[in-house]
Amino acid sequence: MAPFVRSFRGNIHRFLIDVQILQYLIILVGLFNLSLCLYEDQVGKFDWKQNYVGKIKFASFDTVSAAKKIIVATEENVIAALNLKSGQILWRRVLEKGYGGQIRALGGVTDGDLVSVSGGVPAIVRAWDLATGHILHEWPIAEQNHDRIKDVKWHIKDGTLHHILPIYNSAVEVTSYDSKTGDKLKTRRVSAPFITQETECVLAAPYLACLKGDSSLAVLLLVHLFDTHSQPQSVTINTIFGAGAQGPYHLESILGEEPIISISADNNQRKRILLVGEVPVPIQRDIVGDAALYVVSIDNEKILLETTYKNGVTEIVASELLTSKPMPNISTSVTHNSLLSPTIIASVCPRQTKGVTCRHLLASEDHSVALLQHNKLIWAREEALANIVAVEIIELPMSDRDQEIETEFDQKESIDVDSSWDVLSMMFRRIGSQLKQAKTFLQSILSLTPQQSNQRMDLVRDKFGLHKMIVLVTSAGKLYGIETRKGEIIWQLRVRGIRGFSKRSDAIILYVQRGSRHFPYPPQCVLLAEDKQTGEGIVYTFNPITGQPLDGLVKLGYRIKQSMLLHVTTDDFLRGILIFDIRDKVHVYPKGATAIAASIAKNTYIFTADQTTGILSGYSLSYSTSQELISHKVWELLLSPKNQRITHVVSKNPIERVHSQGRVLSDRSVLYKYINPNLVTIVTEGVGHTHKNTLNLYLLDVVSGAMIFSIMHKRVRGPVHVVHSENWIVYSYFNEKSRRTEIASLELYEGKIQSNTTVFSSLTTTKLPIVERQAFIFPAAIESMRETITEKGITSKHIIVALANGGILELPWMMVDPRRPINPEVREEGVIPYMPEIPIHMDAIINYNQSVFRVSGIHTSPSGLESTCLVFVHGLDLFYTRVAPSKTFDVLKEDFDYYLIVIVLAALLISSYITKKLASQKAQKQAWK
Amino acid sequence: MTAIKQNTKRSKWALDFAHKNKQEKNVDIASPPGYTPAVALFHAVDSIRESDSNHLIIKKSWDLALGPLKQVPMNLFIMYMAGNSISIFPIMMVGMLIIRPVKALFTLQQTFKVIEGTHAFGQKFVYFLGQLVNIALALYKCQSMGLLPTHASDWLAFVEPQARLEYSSGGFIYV
Amino acid sequence: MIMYKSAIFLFFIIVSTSNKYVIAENDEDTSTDLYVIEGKVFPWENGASNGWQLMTHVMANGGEHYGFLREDGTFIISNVPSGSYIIEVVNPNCVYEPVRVEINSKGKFRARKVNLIQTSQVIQVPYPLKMRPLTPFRYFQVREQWRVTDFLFNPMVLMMILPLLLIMIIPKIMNDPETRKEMEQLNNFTNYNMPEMSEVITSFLSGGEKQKSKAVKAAKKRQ
Repeated sequence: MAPFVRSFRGNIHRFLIDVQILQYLIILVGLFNLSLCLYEDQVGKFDWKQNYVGKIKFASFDTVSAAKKIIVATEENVIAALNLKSGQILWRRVLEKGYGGQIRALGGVTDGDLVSVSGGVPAIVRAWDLATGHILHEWPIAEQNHDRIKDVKWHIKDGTLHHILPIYNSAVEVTSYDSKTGDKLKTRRVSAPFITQETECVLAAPYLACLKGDSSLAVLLLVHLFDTHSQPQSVTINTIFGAGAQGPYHLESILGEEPIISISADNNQRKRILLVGEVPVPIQRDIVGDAALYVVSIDNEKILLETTYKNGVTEIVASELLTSKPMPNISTSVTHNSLLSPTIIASVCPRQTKGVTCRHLLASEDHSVALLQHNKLIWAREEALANIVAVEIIELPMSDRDQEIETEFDQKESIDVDSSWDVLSMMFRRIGSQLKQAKTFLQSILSLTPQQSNQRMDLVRDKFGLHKMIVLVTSAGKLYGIETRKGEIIWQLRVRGIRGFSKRSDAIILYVQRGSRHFPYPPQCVLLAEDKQTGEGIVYTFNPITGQPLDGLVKLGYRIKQSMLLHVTTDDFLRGILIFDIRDKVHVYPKGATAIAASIAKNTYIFTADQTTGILSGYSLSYSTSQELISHKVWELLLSPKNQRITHVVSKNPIERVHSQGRVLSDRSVLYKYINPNLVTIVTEGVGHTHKNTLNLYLLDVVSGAMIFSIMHKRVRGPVHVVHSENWIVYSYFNEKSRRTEIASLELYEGKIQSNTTVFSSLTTTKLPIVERQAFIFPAAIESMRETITEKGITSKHIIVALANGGILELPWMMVDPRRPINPEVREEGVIPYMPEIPIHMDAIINYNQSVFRVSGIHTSPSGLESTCLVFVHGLDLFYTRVAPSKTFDVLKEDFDYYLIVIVLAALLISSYITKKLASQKAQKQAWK
Repeated sequence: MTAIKQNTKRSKWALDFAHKNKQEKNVDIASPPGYTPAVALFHAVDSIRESDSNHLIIKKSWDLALGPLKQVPMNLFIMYMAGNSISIFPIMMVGMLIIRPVKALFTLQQTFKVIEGTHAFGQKFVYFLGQLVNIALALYKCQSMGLLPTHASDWLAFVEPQARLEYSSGGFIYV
Repeated sequence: MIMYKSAIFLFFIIVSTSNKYVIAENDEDTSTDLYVIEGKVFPWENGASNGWQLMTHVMANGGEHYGFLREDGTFIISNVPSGSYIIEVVNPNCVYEPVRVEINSKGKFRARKVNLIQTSQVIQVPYPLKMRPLTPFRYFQVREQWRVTDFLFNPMVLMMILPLLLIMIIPKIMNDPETRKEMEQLNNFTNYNMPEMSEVITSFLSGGEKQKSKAVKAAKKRQ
């Protein structure tokens, strides 16, 4: 028996080892497959993508190609072709980001080719194929004057690009290039000694119109650009306006093909038009100052289009330019939601068999673009969505039926009365609600019209909380509500007269004051921005589900320095906001929350970071009385202002919860995490002592002002992206020394014992944490980073990284774990050995081939499922999906084989019955023997 | 049974004389070489006891009482076989190792209901001890497999997050 | 260990020399001349669908400079000052290997493979860049299909089947007379003569008692 047993044992042991190896293999495979791992048939199931082009800068109708389209160039450095009928993007070319790709001129569409001038010094001229969007030619313009690029005017005509630069006190230099090859054709100097730095000049090709002086003696000078011998013509203001016009005057070139300019006077109250030609012709007719003008030609006849907007009605009045004869068949008036003070940026009026039909491309104040044909709006594009400044993802309210159930259990009177009568009434209510449910069920079965509801039927919370509402604030001051299932815009709301905070790159602050869980109170969001005129703060509250304004626009009358959302709610579940004004006074909005704010003021702190001075200050509100909140500066810190500039201040997500308080080491002891909710990461970039780019990262406790940790990277520059969560910080930068992008991570630990197991106070914790750190090479350029977040924080964290190549990578935090051991023998559970380079796995790219460009931010939000996190990526494109960092452990996979399990169970049941039968038969037989 | 009893009685009677003789001889005459009185005594006692029914019962009860202790080597072997990896079979084995003695301890009274006699307490004690040894072994196994929550890390999941005392917010100044 | 250390040391030397090289380059970098990087992108053989040029662009240093494809796949990146650039082809369907292009202050071009770990390692590639796709992107997981072999080689199933086989086979073996004999022999071998534990204890305890009593009796008799 013994040898047999031994061999058996050996086998089992080997088998067990094999199993172990298998398990390790599975774990390893799992590690590298930690991503969402989409299946091909799931494309578009959880995700959607929307493409935008941005605010239109130049546009023109392409009437020469076979397929009619609209060519646009935008503020976002995009050149695109839009479908004339639907407004969809036919092709889109995204140029370089920022200054380097800024489009300065677009032209040549009428000649059948498309030439764009973009970039700084030297500018790049690109010729594009109108039909397909391929590039045909590209050449840089040899530019000498670096600082004069703003004054340069471009004119593209007949395959020639004219580069027009006024030279002060002498002449206008016109350099002509072949727009295809870049050959310099000719350089002319047209004398114009009157041009100085203050002269206002506009291009009305072939003339340059300049306004000299701003009193009533002002003179308009017209320079013919292509005739070196001609003398500048001069037109006095009085000949245009007649006597009595008051300055300041403002010169504008009227869009359209013709060389026409408009001059506004009397503080932009009225306008007059001047036809520029060999003999300038002023039109003796006053035009309203705020009318937007466009000149379109029909059969060589110049038609002036005046667009005015009043009380939601857009009126386009057409008149013959020279005779001012109104043309009612072209004039239209439109009322449409997506038009807001629109201006015509391109227009065509082709003569067809049944008469003239005009198509106008209208660009509204809120960045939306619309195509108007005659008096019908064909399509509109919400281009404001290309520039999103604030995002919140909000739960949808419950359905009516659920709300009824909620009210049933939420009856307040049932608490104080405790008798059989109440039970009875409860029962009646229950029966009533169930009858209602049965009724709706019957109705739905009989496909009768559903009862009137105050909300869309599908805009309700689903079982797993995956269906939510994304509230977007755009830089144009327009708000959108987008549902997450299909990306449909549910509501849009314009807040007029606001702008983003100038110092924070047009940021608008959005807070969720009340979620949708507190039925019957409506959910409430609040917007903090600046008044466009005065720069003082405004507060705007609205319902994020319906898009209804609640309290309207409230002007605060002071400038806002900082703000804070309180963590406690008032009796009606509203979270107040603290507004910190420029004179360090603290205000509470709404006023009703003052008492509750004062009650927690003792433990409330605000900090500010000044980018210009490099001063960080912390304020305590502990001196507050119950009537008034008083701020008191408790600490101040100066971060080398001379050569370093604060570029990032990154706090943790306030809704984040950390489930695991420590980390299990290989010897099964615990390393406790240092989870300081008041810890803030501050990054400064600048030049170090040896004139090398350096980057400093500070971890600051903003309550006590204590510096927890600081690190300096030499020969490192931006772009820096920081993710701060739980007890770790992950940041990326460009290493100039090795010329590669690197990701560094820091992790903070308290040590093997927790100093205080119940509460965390920044003021009493004096022990500095243990900091683990590590850097990794990342083989791609990063546009944005954000960590995933889940409801309870049990699910492991991933970092969503937007790459410059348009991919969105889901990077497990485990890959940038600073405790990844360099010596592979020291192993902890779930820690992979250190490798210098982080591999980018293709199946970890969650947007597969749906590339998104110019990502400006990523927003993550927990769903109702602990395993699942909702991800919204915005930039030029919008992309939404959901990720499950630890796989969907709390819900069955959607491809779960129900049939297989049913079949297996049935087979087992049947087989057990049969064997039972057989066994009994056998026993019987044996008994007979 | 009675026949056997009678038989033994008879033989007892028959051998009585020789016995006395032997004992007397033992006192006087030196033992032959190679003869050890203890063994002889043992054998002699053995042969006597074997025929005792009471003795048989006691023996059987001792068998029962020693059962758990006898299992120890077997359990050790099983433990060795199971290895230290945590997978379903080793876990099942360890589970069995623990559950069996615990169960046996709970049914101790029942097991020993039939057993009476002078050694009952001792037997019970030995049985109890044996089961304890088994449990200890199983626990040791659990310990070596890392199944016992003896480390701080095993209680980590129950550590509550620290409550926040101070609340802070802020960032770049807006204007 | 020594090897390891020396390797690290070597690595540091390499790194430091490369640093020097870069510094030198940076110091030299005073000219403001701008250069043009040229190259050609090839489509994936059978994936050369219409409009692949539109989906593709070339990116230098993660978006500092862009190059767009002409219809034949050639591209230029203009306005590039001297320096080092990683040229990547951005295409959502195919993977292209990036290339590092170095332009020195005299306008000399050198293209080499990107090695982010050993930055000083130079493997030159021909300069007017030829970017060929490595492989199409595989973004998706393949759905698992239920196969019998998968099921059978599942460790759990194997663990279930093995004992079953043992249970089935061992009795069969036992039935064989020869093996049975062997087994018996083994059993005999292991069944060595040891007095049973219970016997010993019983006899020890009860024997002790009896002896005691006998001794008492004997004492009494002597009295």
